[in-house]
Amino acid sequence: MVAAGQWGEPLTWTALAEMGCFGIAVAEAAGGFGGGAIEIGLMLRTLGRFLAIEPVVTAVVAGTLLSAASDAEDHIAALIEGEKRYAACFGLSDVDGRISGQVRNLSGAWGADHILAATDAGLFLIDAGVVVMTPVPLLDDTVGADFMLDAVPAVQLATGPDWSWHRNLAVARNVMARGWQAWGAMEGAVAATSEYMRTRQQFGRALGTFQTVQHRVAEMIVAAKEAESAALLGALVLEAAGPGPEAQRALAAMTARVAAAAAIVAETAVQLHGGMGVSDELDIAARFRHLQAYRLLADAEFRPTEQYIAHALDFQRHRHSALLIEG
Amino acid sequence: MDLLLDAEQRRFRDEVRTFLDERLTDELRDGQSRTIGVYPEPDLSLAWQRILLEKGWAAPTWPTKFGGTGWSPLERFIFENECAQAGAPLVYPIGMRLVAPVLMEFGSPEQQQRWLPQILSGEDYWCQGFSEPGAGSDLASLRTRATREGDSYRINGSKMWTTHAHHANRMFALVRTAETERPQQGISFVVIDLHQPGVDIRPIISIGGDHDVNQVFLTDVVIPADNLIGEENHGWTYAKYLLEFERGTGLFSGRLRASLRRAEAALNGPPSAHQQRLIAEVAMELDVFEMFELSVVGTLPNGGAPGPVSSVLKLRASRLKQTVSQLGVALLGADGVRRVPGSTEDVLITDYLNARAATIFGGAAEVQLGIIAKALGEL
Ligand SMILES: Cc1cc2nc3c(=O)[nH]c(=O)nc-3n(C[C@H](O)[C@H](O)[C@H](O)COP(=O)(O)OP(=O)(O)OC[C@H]3O[C@@H](n4cnc5c(N)ncnc54)[C@H](O)[C@@H]3O)c2cc1C
Repeated sequence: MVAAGQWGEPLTWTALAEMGCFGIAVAEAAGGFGGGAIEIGLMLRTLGRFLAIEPVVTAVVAGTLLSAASDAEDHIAALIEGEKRYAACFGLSDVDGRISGQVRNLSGAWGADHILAATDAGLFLIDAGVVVMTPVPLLDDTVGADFMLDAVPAVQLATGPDWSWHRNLAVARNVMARGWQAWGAMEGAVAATSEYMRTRQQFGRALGTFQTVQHRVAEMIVAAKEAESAALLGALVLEAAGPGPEAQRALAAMTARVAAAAAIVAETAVQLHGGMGVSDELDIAARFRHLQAYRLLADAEFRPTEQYIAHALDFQRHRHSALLIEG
Repeated sequence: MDLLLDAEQRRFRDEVRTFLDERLTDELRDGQSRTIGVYPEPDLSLAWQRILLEKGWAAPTWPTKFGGTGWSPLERFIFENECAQAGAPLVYPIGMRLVAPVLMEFGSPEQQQRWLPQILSGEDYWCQGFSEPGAGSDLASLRTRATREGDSYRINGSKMWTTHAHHANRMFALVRTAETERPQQGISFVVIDLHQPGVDIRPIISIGGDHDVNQVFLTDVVIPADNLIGEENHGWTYAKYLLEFERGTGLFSGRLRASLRRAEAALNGPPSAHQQRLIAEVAMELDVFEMFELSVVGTLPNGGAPGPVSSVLKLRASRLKQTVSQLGVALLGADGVRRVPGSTEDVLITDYLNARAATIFGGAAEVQLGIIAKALGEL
């Protein structure tokens, strides 16, 4: 499939488009495949397993945002076919259709043709050609971008009473999709580590026959299983309840626990590979970087504990089931 | 152990401080603060070693008869702490602190004379040829073969993960000189000159993206028979002795505290309440580790071997190295993923990535736990 650790290959992007990766998050009414949280999640999990580090999550967010537009068939077709790349950005401001704000570390922006700015007022399309970007090599072996927008002209693609729902859905899918991708990356790390422990011989026997090693592999499996239930929680609640407070609570819990599992899996995978784990001879070191980047950004940008306090504790929702949602 | 420094110890500390004020240049400091590998690059560490040498302070762990300082353990602790806090480059330990004690204990007077002065002066730069592709945790299964031919040995095989082999001119190596039932019994400890035909050194890129370690291929490499240390087939004993020094005679608490300070210095402005908490948790662990380190190393006679407690020291030091470097990245928040070459962030991130190796080299954490259980738990 897609080579691990290779970023920015145009051929990879075309291959992903051919597999239909960019249409899943686009609503059926807008010309996409109308996938929900689970479909999106399963795709990212698979990509995570193979350590395909292309910014597919960005395409998921872009597809979700473009689904809110009334007149964007061309853009949607270009996104789905992989002809054009769309970066997505929240937290910018608009005045009279001009967009301003400072952007840092944005993944999927370097090499994009357009930037989608989702502001309070609506969805705006910016031609990336007018933006001066600085590429930033990131910990997960991808390239992000820094740029500054100062009243940049933009075309408004969506607005209206439903807009904020779409925007919240895109934000929620971003968090959810990243969590599923991390889970997939963990599954790959668990599989590679158990395989290595079955084959690597020391002391005249396979390392996997040492009980300590068995227990550590077992802890990785337990952690990856927790990531699985966390990922399911986030996706199923988002699917059932939409991007409201229930989903925000579930996504906070999901992210906190996926991040915790990512730390255990990444660190143990490297440790059990010995010297091989701390060199770039195998893809274990790249998985470590990927998972730690996920964990760091989840902590720093999403702040799951604060989110949970704001959406659950402040309303005492945490005293009630997270799953049994009353309509 | 009296922690309150007496007048003589205070005078010693002030002397070290004055020396550092006078001789430690900004260039050396800056180089050390940008070091991301396990050891600084040789131009940096050797420049500092030469300055120490002029003062007679290059070998704080050596007995005076070989050119050491003859300091008490507490004096050495004070010295290392001051050097680390001032940001002095780390003196490369593989010659000084790993092979030198073996030469002093098991080498012939002629060998001591041949090699120790050049370790002290920095003219020779050594690397450690123990691990092989098939022999890591199970070191005794090593297969690099040395065959006796008259007055020399012919060596064939390959060494793996050899730190700084690409800078070194000498390697001490474990080689197989006999096939015995217990693999430990057929191993010898030899010295190989790396600048000769048959030696091929290839880089291995680390998880942090830099070049520290190598694979060294040895094909029909010939060494004089008097490069054998001690007796043939007794190398395992010397290797175990060396590993105790590797694991248990470094003083890391000052270095770890310098890393903590490097992490704090990268903050833009005063720490938030959340950041303060993160810093405090690591600092408390470090305070306790410092006490442990002093109580172990601080009771060693000059040149003495630390014994199996070295494994506890190694385990805790390596874990703390990871904790401190992880803090460095955590304090950066979302910028902890930015790897802009040459930036402060990238130094911290690369250090964090490379720190994963701390619980692997010198014997993996699991191997240390095994030694602790056997030797200290008598299991
Ligand atoms: C950065 C770096 C620098 C190094 N520098 C040098 C050097 O200069 N010279 C040199 O000779 N060597 C060097 N080494 C090699 C180092 O000593 C070995 O990597 C180490 O001994 C582990 O061996 P291995 O990598 O083959 O791992 P393996 O032996 O394959 O072990 C893999 C993992 O399995 C687990 N494991 C192994 N055995 C057991 C057990 N019995 N019970 C439970 N768990 C176990 C551990 O988690 C271990 O990390 C260096 C290594 C690194 C990473």
